[in-house]
This record gives sequence, structure tokens and C-alpha cells, in this order.
Amino acid sequence: MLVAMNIEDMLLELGHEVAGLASRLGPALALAGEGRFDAAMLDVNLAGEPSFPVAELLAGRGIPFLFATGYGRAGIEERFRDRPILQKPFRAAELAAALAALAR
Amino acid sequence: MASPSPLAPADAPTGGSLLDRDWAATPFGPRESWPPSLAFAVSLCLRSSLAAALYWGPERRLIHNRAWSELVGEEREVGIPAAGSDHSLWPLVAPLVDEVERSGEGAFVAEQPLRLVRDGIEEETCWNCHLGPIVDEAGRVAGVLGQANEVTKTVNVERRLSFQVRLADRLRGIHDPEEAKQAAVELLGSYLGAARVGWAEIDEAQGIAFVQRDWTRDPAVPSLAGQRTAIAGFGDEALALFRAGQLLAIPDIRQLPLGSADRTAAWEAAGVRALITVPLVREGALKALLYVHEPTPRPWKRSDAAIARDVAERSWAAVERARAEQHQLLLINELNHRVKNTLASVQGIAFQTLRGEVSLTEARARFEARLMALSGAHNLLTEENWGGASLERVVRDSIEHLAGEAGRFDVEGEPLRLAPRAALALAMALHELGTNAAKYGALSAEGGRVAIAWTQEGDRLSLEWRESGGPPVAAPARRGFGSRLIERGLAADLGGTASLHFDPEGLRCEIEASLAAIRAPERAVG
Repeated sequence: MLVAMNIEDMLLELGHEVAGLASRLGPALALAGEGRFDAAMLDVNLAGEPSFPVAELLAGRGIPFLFATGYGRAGIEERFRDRPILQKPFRAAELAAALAALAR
Repeated sequence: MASPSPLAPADAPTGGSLLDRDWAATPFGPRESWPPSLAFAVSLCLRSSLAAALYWGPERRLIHNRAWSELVGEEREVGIPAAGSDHSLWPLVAPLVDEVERSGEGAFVAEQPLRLVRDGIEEETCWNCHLGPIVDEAGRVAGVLGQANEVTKTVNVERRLSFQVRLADRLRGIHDPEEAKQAAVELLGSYLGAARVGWAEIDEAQGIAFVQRDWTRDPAVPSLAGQRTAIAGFGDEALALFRAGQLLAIPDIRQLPLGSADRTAAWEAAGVRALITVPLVREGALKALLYVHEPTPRPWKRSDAAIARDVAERSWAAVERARAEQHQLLLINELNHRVKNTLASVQGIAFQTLRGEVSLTEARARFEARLMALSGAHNLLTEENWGGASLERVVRDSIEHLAGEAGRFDVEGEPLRLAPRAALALAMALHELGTNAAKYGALSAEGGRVAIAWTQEGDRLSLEWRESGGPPVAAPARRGFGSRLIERGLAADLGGTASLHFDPEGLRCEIEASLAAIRAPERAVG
């Protein structure tokens, strides 16, 4: 939660709005399926469950997303390895660059 | 030449009985008429301890000793032309005999394979053969003497050794358990020339044998991959053998049935007429079966069963090693993930503590206190190997830093084991509440108290922090780190809600969480 709060603050300081926050798979899927937002950031591990179903849903909706993980690139499912990955912990500048790349 | 006597002369200790025959009735004529070269060659042939045959003259007339007749299965008429003698060796030998006659030089053939039927059993044998010219009195090659030495055993031992080396080499480079199993059955299958070889993993609790993959000689042989069968199908007798670690080799299940008659028919329908099954027993439990199947009867050799057992043991060791490696990798990844998350949490604490108007001294004290709270929660989780932590321990540890205030807390609630994530979140939140109470709340005044109580109902946990007896409370003008941590972060981590109520008689924090989201998973039973 400290991490999520911190990222929230980073995003606000970068001039973005936070449309929603989910720390478990169920709520995350609901958010990804129905939420209205421009981009998403996924922790690979949501309270012990991998977040790849969320990634699949987002990919289906054509919403750009990036991963934040402590597992490294090897922890990402093969089909999503071409997506941007931020290694935890990261700095606000790295987050800004990744989001700018997503928007392109 | 002297006629043979009952007491064999010193120079004729063996072969006597073969030499001692009515040669006049054979195409070679009486021995007295033989040129010395023929007499020498016949003697050499019949006295040889190896399987020996002499091919004499342009017709290649055949004389052989007893060992040779054992080699080809029966005796051939003395002096019959080899081409008409219908013996299995001739097609192999004929071109060599021609070559030796032409060149006048001996020829050697190493490890010549030969399918022989001995004692009614057809088998693959190996022979080293030497063919040497017999030069007559005129200096021409008059005959060729062939001598053969069986090297089947040596060749088989070499084959087996090189197979074991190949197997070891293959297994060494493999780090995936399924791949190790597959490599082993492939190698064993081609070595034995079997129809189907595979591993079935046994789940004794469920009474099930499961085949993940197997190897088949060609596409015509059906694979058992993906099949789940009841182990009762093996029959009680076979199962008892397997559980005792004993291998089963059946040349023909019609002669030696496997299970009931129905079961045996079902095995046959599945392409099993002959089989070798090697059980793997570890710590007294049947873990897996290595099977070799043939759709037709096959008289298994002792060495077939031995190599199957050898492959089973070696490859299972590789499977276990690969599984341990995978498990270790998983643990390392998990640890790495945990470290990265912890670092990100520390980053969060630093970021949140150092923002806004705060003196360096104050910021340092708060940062340190929060870091200690995080560390304390880690200690608690480490004690239980990150399986979870008791809610009461989390509560008591979180207020411990308020030294001397322990008597001012009333803690009450039913036992509950929290998942690591929930335990960490709650510990951090309680730390903020405690610090706040000591500075501005109930614990800042004489006689102030804090009650922490929780109840479980259905899928909900309700936890309340209630302060009393402190200075009058007013809602703060600005929400600080603690408030945000509780109302947003904690709520999200617990899958519920958390709210702060600034009642005049004391601060109250109400936390509602879903038990499904916060309860520690049942510990795996080793």
C-alpha cells in the first residue's frame, strides 16, 4: 500500500489523474473491464495472484499498459514481454518516461 | 598318416572323433591320399577351440568343427559345397573367401552381428572372424580356413556402458523434470527397440496412475500420453510387487495375466502383450512406474530388465534434481520480489515522510520509527516463514514501541491468522495510530486509554481502535500521511474500508475487511 500510495503521488505530481486502484485480481479485472482511463500500470503480483488476466483484458480493449515488478522481465509471461516494464523501486522520472512512451 | 588309435597320440588331443571318420566316403577321399596342405588344414580346423570351417578347393567344399555346428545350429554334411549347404553364414562369408583366395592374405571381421536361434530362442549375437588362406604345395591358395569367436557379451557390455554414458550426458544438461523423463524414455526405447516406453506418476491417495508423455517407436503405436488410469487395474499381486520396489517383466500377458481377465484383455487392446514395469519407491511410497510395452510377445532378457531398472533409477534422480532446482529458482525469485517490494515500501516511506513542511530532525525520527515498524512486521512474518502472522501478535507488536504505555491498551479479539500482506499493512497503520495517540491523542494525557477490539462475522472482520480520556479531539485541517495510509492504502490492502472518526471524546478508527482477502492460506501439509 505504501508502494501504491507513492506511485499515486508520483502520478499526481506528473500531472496525471488516478482513475482507480485495485490490490487484488477480482477488483482489478472489474476495473480493467469497465473503467475509463487512458493507460494502466500493473503490478505482476496482486496479493499472490499474477495480473496477466488483467493484461489480457486491457490488450483486448486496446488500452496501453506497463508492468511494475520486482521479479524482472523473466517473471512476465512470454506474450507480454514486449510491453514496457518498470523494475521496482523506480523513480518518478522513469515512470514519466515510460508513460510518455505508452502515449506514443 | 598313422591311423587313429583309442589312445589319441600326443599331437592329437582333441578333434579326434571328427578326424576319425570314413573319409573315403567323402569327396576328400581317404586320408592317405591327402596332400600335406589339406591334412594340415583339416587338422587345424577340427582341433580349433573356436568355431572353425574350412572351405576347400574351387567348389568350397565344407569341413567344420563342433563349435561351428553349434554356431549355425546343426551339422552339415562333410565335403558338401558351401554354396549348396544352405547355412546362414555363407552369404556373409562367400565374398570374404573369394577375396582371401584372390589376395592370398588373411581377412578379419570385427563384431559381425548375427541373428541366431539357440535353444529355441532367437537372439542377436556378435562375432569376430578371421579367414586365412591355406597355401598348397604348388604355392596356390587351395582353401580358406575361417575361425570365429563369439564376442556378444563384450559387445553388449560396451553397448550398455556407452548407453549409460549417453544417458548421463543427456540428463546432465536437462533442468526440466518432464524433459528429463522424456529423454530417458526416448533413449531406453531406441536402445531396447521397444514399441512404447513411458513414465506413469502414481498418486496413491487418489489411486491413480498418470502419464504426462511417452515415447513410441513409430506413429502406428498409440501413445498413452494424458491418460489417467486407476492403479487397481494392475491387480493386487502386481501392485504388491511394485510397492515392494520389485520389477515386473512379462513376456506374454496371455501366459501370465496382469489383473483380472477383463483387465488383461484391456491391456492387450491398449497394445500391451509383453511388458517390463519398473516401480520407483521413495520413502516407502510408490511414486512412479517406468513402463516398456510390446504389442507382441517378447522373451525379455535379464539384461533388458536390468537396463530398464538402471534407466528408471538414474532418470528419476535427474527428475528429482530438476524439481529441486525449479523449486530453488522459485524461492530465489520470490525472495528477489520480496526484497524489491520492500525497497519500494522504504522508498514510499521516505517519500511520504520527507514531503511538506517538516524539520530535518523530526523527519529523521519519523522515518526511523516507520522503518522500524516495517522491520518489526517483517520479523514477525519471518518467524513463521512468511506463511502469515497472528492478528493479536501484529497488534501487540505494533504498540510495543510505545514503551511504558502497555497498561493503557485494552486488546481483545478472537484468534485470526493474517496473510503476510494484510499483516504488513495493518502493522504500518497501527504504528501510525499509536504514534498519533502518543503525540496528540489519548496517550498524551494522564489516564487516557486505547481499546483495540475485533470481531469476525461471516466473511467480515471488524476492527476498532478507540481512544478515550485524552484531550478533546478536533478534526485536523489537513490529512497527513497516517490518515492517507489508513483510509486509502490500508482499505485497498484489506479489501475493505477504513475510516477515521474524530469524535470529541477520542479518535476512533473503524476497519472492515473481507476475511477471504486477509486470512493466511492454510499451511501446506508436508
